[in-house]
Amino acid sequence: MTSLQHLLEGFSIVLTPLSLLYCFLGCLWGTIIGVLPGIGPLGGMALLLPLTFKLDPTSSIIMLAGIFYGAMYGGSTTSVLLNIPGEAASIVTCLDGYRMARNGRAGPALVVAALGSFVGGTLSIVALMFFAPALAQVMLRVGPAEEFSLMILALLVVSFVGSSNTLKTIAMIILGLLIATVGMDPFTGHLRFTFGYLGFASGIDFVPLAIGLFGISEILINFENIANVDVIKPSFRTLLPRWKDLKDSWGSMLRGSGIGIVFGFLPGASHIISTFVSYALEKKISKHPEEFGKGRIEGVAGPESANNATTGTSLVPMLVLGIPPLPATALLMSALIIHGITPGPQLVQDHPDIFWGLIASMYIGNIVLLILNLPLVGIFVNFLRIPYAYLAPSILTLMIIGVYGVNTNTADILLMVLFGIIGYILRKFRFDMAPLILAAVLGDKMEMSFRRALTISEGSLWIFVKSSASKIFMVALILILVLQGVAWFMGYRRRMAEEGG
Amino acid sequence: MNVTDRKGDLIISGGLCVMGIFVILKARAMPYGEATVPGPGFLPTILGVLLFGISVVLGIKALLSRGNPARVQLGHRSMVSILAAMVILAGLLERAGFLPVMTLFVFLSLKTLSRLRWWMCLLWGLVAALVAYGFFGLVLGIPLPFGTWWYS
Repeated sequence: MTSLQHLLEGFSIVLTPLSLLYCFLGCLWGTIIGVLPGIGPLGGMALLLPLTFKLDPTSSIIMLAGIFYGAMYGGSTTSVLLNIPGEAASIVTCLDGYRMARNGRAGPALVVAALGSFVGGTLSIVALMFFAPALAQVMLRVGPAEEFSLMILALLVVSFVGSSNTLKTIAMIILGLLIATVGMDPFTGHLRFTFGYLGFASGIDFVPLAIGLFGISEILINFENIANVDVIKPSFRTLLPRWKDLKDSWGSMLRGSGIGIVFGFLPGASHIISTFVSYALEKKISKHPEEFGKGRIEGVAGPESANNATTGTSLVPMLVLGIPPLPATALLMSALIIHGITPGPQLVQDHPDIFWGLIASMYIGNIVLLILNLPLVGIFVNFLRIPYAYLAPSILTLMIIGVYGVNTNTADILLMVLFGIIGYILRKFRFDMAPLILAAVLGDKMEMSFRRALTISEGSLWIFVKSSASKIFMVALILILVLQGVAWFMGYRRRMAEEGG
Repeated sequence: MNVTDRKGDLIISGGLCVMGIFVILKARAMPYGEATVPGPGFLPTILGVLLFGISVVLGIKALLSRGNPARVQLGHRSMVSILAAMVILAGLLERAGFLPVMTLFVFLSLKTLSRLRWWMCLLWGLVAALVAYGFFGLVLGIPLPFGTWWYS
């Protein structure tokens, strides 16, 4: 069957009243989550994760995915109207989006952000449709040694690409891998780092870890700036952009989409990195680079397209390789595993209904989000009128319920608080949490692949470089290390020159 | 509490260093295995050594750097109160039940963060708990505890 035939089958699964309802609910909830600062798509998905236990796997993944890309859409609203990014990937949108709002052009900024998100999201779904099955075929041939090499490569990419401090990132990765060792050893059943508490026998749950590190720490940081903020509220009449706005931004949307599609495959903070890369590119090629930061529409269109374009392709490594590149995709993966479905190369073959149903739901979700984000922006903005002093207790309540609901264990709430405090302190001193989460999710699989590979090779490390796939990954690994070394040396020489001059 | 960047980096790297040593010691008590069949202590040992090494490098880098003179504000009163309330909530949730505990939590949070009068905080706490119970407990079916204290 061709991809198009599979896609039509996917639409037949999604175009049922119940699936459409879950898709709509996911998109709506995701947009609200994206608008509210402090929760993020991860928190929003974790809150509804317990609900998905009652649904079939296809419906639950459709709803959770809706929240994921809905939050990407919604994050731009607060960036434009409040200069507060609702989601980390919307930081760059603040630069020009908020300035446009201050110049009385909030409407065009919001419309172009929504259109850019639609274009980026749609193009990335097309890429997902064609890349994922092909990649799955390739990955069916790889063994534990190649899997391990690929995961090491993923972690090194996170360390060296887009990281502001490589040493701190590596420290977080090691910490994440250590967290993954807590619990029962998968081969021998030996309990590791459980300190006598049986609740840790199955390891540290992803939800309290992620919500604590991201959600609780974010709220604790926001407590320091609790104040009423001016909310710019555009009327529907002023929402419409000029023809010139659309003409100026369509090129940026396409370029941003291309950047987002490529970066979506990379693990780590790809959705954030892609927005910065897009912004830098638009500024570089613009005829008026001096106007960036003062309200250029390309500064909104490009990054928003890049941001949403990463959502589609970021699902490829998760679905096909079982390697979630983003914390939110890690939660999607958890949801699949809870339903007894293991992401990996077999997913496309063994569960085509889930894979193609998800892709079809993303096409529909993109249209739903465009409809939600344009006329309903006034309603979403009203959430922002609620002072943070009242919003924070509500958000905390939602987080507590979300964490408790997964295992109905109050120890998870304590874990969430503990990781919240750890995350707060680390973030204050610029330690990034995304690599920690990525490593915590990959740790188990990495260890299993490594030990299996050594067992197969009877202790010989040559297994990690023997096969063609491993050779490719190892070469990529060495290339990254060499490039990083060169970049460091060039930076060192420039600093010496500046100090000498 | 205000701390300079440099001091913060030193403290965190010190903490990671101690953690690395702890992990190595704990991992040594586990079966290490052999090259052909690595045991449960194999990876934790490697990670402990790596963590120790990286944290020493981070610490040395922080010591040698001039660092950012700006101070980082760490913590404040409302944060401590809210975190304490969450810990108490976790302890009481299954004993006292979702409704009373969540009402109390929202009441304490609002009292700490906002300027609302105490009875308004209590009223909003009750409303929030009821709405949350209705939506998550009844509509979504999340098993929220009734409270073991109330069983006769």
